[in-house]
Amino acid sequence: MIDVLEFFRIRFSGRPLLLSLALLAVALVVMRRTPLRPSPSSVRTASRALGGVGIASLLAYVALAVYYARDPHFFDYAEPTMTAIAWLFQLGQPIHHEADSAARYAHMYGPMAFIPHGVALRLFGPSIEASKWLGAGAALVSLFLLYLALRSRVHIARALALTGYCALLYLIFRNLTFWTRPEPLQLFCMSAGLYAATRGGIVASLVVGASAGVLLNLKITGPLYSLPVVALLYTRGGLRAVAIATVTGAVAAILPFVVFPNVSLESYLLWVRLSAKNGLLLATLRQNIEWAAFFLLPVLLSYFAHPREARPAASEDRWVVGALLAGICGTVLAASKPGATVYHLVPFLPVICYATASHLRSLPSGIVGDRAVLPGAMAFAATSVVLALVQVVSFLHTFAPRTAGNEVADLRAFVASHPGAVVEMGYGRDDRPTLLRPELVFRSGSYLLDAPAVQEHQLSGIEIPPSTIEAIRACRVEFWLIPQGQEPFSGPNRYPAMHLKPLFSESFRRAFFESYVLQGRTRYYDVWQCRTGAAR
Amino acid sequence: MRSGDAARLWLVRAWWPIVPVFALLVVRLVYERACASPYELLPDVTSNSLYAWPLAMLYLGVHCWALTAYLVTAGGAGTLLPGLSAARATWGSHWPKIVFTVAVLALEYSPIPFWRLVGQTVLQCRGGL
Repeated sequence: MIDVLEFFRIRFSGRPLLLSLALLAVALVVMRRTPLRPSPSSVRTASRALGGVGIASLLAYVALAVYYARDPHFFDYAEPTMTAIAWLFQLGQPIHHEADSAARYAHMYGPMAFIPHGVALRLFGPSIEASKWLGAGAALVSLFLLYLALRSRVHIARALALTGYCALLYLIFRNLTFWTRPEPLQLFCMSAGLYAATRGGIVASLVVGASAGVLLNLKITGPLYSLPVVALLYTRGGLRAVAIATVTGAVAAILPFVVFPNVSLESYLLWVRLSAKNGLLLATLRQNIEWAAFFLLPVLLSYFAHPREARPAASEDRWVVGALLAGICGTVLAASKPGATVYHLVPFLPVICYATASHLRSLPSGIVGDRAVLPGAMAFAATSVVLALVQVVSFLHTFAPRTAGNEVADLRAFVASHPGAVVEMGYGRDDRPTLLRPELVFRSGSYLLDAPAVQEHQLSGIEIPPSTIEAIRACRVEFWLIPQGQEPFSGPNRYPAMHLKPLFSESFRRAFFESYVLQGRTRYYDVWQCRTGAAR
Repeated sequence: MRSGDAARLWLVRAWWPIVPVFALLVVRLVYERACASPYELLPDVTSNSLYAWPLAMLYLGVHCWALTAYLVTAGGAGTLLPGLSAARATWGSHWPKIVFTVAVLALEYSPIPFWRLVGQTVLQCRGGL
């Protein structure tokens, strides 16, 4: 069964629009003898079924987020990066180091991708769970805020169902919306801004502005996400509200660079500029366009659900949908960068649900104006359920075995038996055992090498600089823990454009082998010690 | 002038600068899929931001054109799935532009394995991976 789902996932999970259209075609063929407009009772039955799917998805999402947050293991290779850099930030070290720095961990994420995690680690103590709970908590709160925003447009049942559909669409991206990367924080900002914009008043402008500023400091594409929320604010509060939000947003965006001496705008922009030089992938662009069209289906269906003479024509709807389309177009392009993909569109999902709710607001129960709307909605829901199911099963199938490992205790025991020594995680060919590396950063306060960053730098044409090789030769790190049985620093760059080029250069590896010797092993890792220290 | 008429007029005007160029691009992409790497299209052009962004904007622009054309047609016909006759009535003498655009998009979205097969059997080229 798992094999069948995995085959389906690999073969079809990237074609949501095609799947939906195929299902719609089948449904239309099956329903070709039905009347032009479905009867109120059949509309109500279908609506109840669709609502049930939404609520079930909501429950499944909450359960999965809590399950993930409770375990100290990571799923994605770049999650530990956020936690590790957040702790460095907490210790006063830079979030974005300079281009020729010995440490190699800078990413093109903005400072707010790390600062909230740093605060969480300070408040609750340095642990992987604290960082993971921040992601899961932000995602769950964002769903609640979305529900509140939707309630301003539709009644409880529809608001719950639409929140559930948002959760269902999140699940298509496995743990992306509650993992330890910027996405949960982006969703939180989007939902908070959306909810505030529906409330109106000066507080709305301040919250929308603050969320826009944080969005900009999470990813450089932040303003594209803010567009529809600002459009909503404009329709409710006019230009004055937008002006207040703009000023607030500018202050929020500048604040981290002014308040924290270890947050440098110059260094951040340096990494953004380098990453921007990587060009675009047309295959990814095509995929992004298909996903964007799929995500927008509910907005289209809810518009045509009304009888022709009663279709939504409110100025607010036009502004929000127009700004949403503009934001999506910009993001579709930006998300075609090597290494990026459709997940960059996920922060628009709360706004898409809101726009759908706005269309459904005046739709009486039991009435659908267009014959194709109901089968279209069913096709969209079925596609979403199938895609979410195969992705969640694949996620659990991969992640569940990892939870049995006790690498954290292994790492803590090694560090405890070597007090005062600088211990860091090195890399072999398999990423998985290295995902617990924040545990070492918590204890040593040092992070020389982040493989995802080195990979990104190499894609931008920047190899490991001489200063890093010098740090290796000088044994800045006394012990490197390498996944057991793997050759140190032997893995390739996994970006397709790099054609499996070695991630660590020959000169780096030579320096490592000349400076370190295999000294022993722990339960999960080989211990490589500096030759100078080993000789003592 | 109704908003649908204005949009139709703009779409007709915008067709010439974007869709024929896009058609040429699609022919090149189809060749790439058949005879080169199907997932890393035009790597020499797309790896340079100077060329990649305008190309991507053209690619996206045609999709936006097609989406707007669909919305104008559906809005005019008053239904989510407008029939052929309703679409023809909406576009009048510009109907061939719609047919051409749909054909080009169909070519672009046709399955990659099909073009690999065409590459191997018809064009006799050895495609990279």
